[in-house]
Amino acid sequence: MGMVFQFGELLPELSPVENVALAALLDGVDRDRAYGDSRRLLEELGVPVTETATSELSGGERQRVAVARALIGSPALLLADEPTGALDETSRDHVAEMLFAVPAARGCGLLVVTHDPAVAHRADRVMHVEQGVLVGAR
Amino acid sequence: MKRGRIRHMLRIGRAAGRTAEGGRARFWALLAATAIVAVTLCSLSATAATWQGREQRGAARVPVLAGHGQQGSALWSRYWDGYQGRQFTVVVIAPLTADAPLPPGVARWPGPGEVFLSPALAEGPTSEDFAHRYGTSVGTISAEGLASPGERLAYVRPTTKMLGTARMEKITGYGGAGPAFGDLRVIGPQSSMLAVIGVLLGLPALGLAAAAARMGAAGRDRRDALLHTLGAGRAARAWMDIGAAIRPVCIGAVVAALVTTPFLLVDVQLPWIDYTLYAPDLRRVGVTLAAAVAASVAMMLGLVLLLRPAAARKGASTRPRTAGSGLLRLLALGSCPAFLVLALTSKSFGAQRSAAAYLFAVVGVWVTLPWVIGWAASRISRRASRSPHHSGAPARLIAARTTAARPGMVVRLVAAMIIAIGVIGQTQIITSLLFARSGDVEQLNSAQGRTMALVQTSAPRLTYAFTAALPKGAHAVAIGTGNIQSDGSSASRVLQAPCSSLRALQLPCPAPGQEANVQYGALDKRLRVSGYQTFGETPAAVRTGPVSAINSAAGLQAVVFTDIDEPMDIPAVKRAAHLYLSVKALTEPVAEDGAKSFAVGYQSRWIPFLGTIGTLILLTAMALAALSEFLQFSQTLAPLTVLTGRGQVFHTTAFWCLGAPLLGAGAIGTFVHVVLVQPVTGGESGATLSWNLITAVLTATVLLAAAATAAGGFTAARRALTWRPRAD
Repeated sequence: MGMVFQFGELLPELSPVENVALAALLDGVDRDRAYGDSRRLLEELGVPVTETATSELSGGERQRVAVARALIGSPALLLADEPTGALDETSRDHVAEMLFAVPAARGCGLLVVTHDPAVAHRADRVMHVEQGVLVGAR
Repeated sequence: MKRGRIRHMLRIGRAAGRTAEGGRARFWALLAATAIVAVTLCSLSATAATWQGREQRGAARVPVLAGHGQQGSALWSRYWDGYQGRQFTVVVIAPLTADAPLPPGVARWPGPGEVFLSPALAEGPTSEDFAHRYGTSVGTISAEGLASPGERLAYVRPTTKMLGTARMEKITGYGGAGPAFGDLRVIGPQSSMLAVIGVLLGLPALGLAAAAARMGAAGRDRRDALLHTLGAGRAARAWMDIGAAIRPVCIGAVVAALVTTPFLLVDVQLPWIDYTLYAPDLRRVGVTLAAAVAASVAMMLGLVLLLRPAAARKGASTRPRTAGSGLLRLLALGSCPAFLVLALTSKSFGAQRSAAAYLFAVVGVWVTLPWVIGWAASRISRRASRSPHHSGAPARLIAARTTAARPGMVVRLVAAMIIAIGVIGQTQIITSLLFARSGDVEQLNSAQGRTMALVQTSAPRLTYAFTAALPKGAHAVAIGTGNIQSDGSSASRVLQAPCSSLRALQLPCPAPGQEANVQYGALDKRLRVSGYQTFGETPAAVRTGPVSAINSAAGLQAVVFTDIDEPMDIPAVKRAAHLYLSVKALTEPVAEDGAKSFAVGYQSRWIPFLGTIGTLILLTAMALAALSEFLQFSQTLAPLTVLTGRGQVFHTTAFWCLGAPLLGAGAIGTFVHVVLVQPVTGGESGATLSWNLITAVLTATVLLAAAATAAGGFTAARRALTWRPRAD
């Protein structure tokens, strides 16, 4: 299971590739494979700079690094909590497009929590929750 | 800026300080730091005031000597005695006229054989028998006759029979221009004491203040940069920072005022050093003390502003910032090696300047060293994080990147420990310098050292009354200086006594008129210690004969002793010498041989006393710095919880972020201390480096590093369990 948060929650002192590789290293993957997979994944998700400090990335880039970090362990299910909540419209669309392409590309499930109808619209199934109660589904 | 706006900024700052990350910890840190800075400033003011009072009272009791041909009104003389390794003055007085002026603090002229004692002596232990040592005690000296209420002083009027045994001066009154006596001889110049307080208390207080001011700085730095970006000017940001700090700083000042007030109301005896602060002296400088408390508030707020990040810098980011190159850091990096070289070459500045140069350089090294360690840690971390080996281990990767980005964290963490090593080390070295003694002294324990005493008197030989009054089992052997070297160049000890006394010291008993040479190593170890400073390790010439002055000009010197394992009643020997040999006979146990001067007895207490307080302040600073780093550290690591369910990475990262810098700093600090003391160690009068202390410091460092690792690891792991993503 992988997780993506609204603000990415990356370690700011680490580079993007290190942030992603860290997840693999903590999972016991050897160093070369962890870094190799991380670079490939970041490239795949279109993060242009992999060695710069994470704190210098834009919000959209940071979210893509967070998605890469969530995917590095090849999860069966990807959970995303307001993944576009802190992004501008353009970045939101890029991240949403990339995120909703993941299940098809990597064969995993995706569960997204969002307030944004434009993001929800991309989902196969939408459930409405109000005051903690499920009020409808599409 | 308008008054209303300033008030508004202060209010915002106060609210921000309360709700900031680690805000509560910073509140207590600033409070404690202000209180300690205020108390340190008050100590400096009190020292100056105390000096003045002591000098005034001391000058008022100095006798005015009668001029040539002038009729004196009293006879006056002084000598010294010792108690618990500290010397004190005994004044011998006798009136010549009915209207002879009384010494200050003495209510009436004591009769022959009567004594006035200071309260410190009058209340001394009965085993010392001060009440009868110099005669019969008939009253106490009041505070106006004493340099300080805790001073040890006696005014002794000898019996008519013993009056002639003291060489006495004719005096006409008091308030003369002669040299001061009593505790005033004990204390060196006021500047020395102020310097000692400055180094042993001021420096740690400054370290604590800096640690408190920068506590939780990362969040404030970002807030400052954000405000700058939003258009807040330098003044507005400064007022906000003051608003965040002013409450704890003011409360700290109030605490300091409350702590200081009792010293103005009653005389307070300081623990351990046996020194009483005289309340009237402090009341005279009450306004200065209040100003010192107010100055501590200004100092702390100034420090808070001074140690703010340069947020107005170009390119300042509202995001977590990486290490820059501050002017302070550059200065420290450049000056630390220069201070080290200055300390090592200070001897070449000449006798007078070398001590000041050495002290200045030592303080400089300890103040700048934390920056050097922070810089080194940052460089090593940056290199380590690039190395393939390190970047494969998650904990080392995180630690290396964090340290490289924030070397200030290492500086704050190790600064207090580095300065503490310096303070502890220098205290040991200074104490060792004061007690530079032969190796034999180290082996002679205090109990054995009190089984022999050196008696010095102007009497030519021991009297029967004295011998009869000695404790049971005591012997006496005369000691003096002789030349037994063929070239006559060097002096050595001569020992002379009846055979029974010589045999009691396992010495040979040569025929009358003959001498037997005994090598230094074969002498009783108490004798080796007793004469070491005068004779060194030269052999002794032993003669059989009466216990009489060997060098008549110097008077009689004799050692009175019992068996080395049999305690001797030293007060009884002192009493016997005073009553039956000479009013001014000196009796000094071998155990107190190293504490010969007044100053040594005094300094040997003050320096460890102030050093201990300074070290406690530094430990507080270290605890606060560590707490601050734990908070920041655990905040940094908390998001890791989404990547792993195992807590091991928190503990391993804690070791590399907190434990390893402490271990490195401890090792470097100890190494620098060993290098720094080289100019003052070795040689006959040099200090001795205590390897036991070095071992203790290194052990404490390892324990501290382990504690910091454990605390940091557990804090981070616990925080990770309750961590929630932002805006969740």
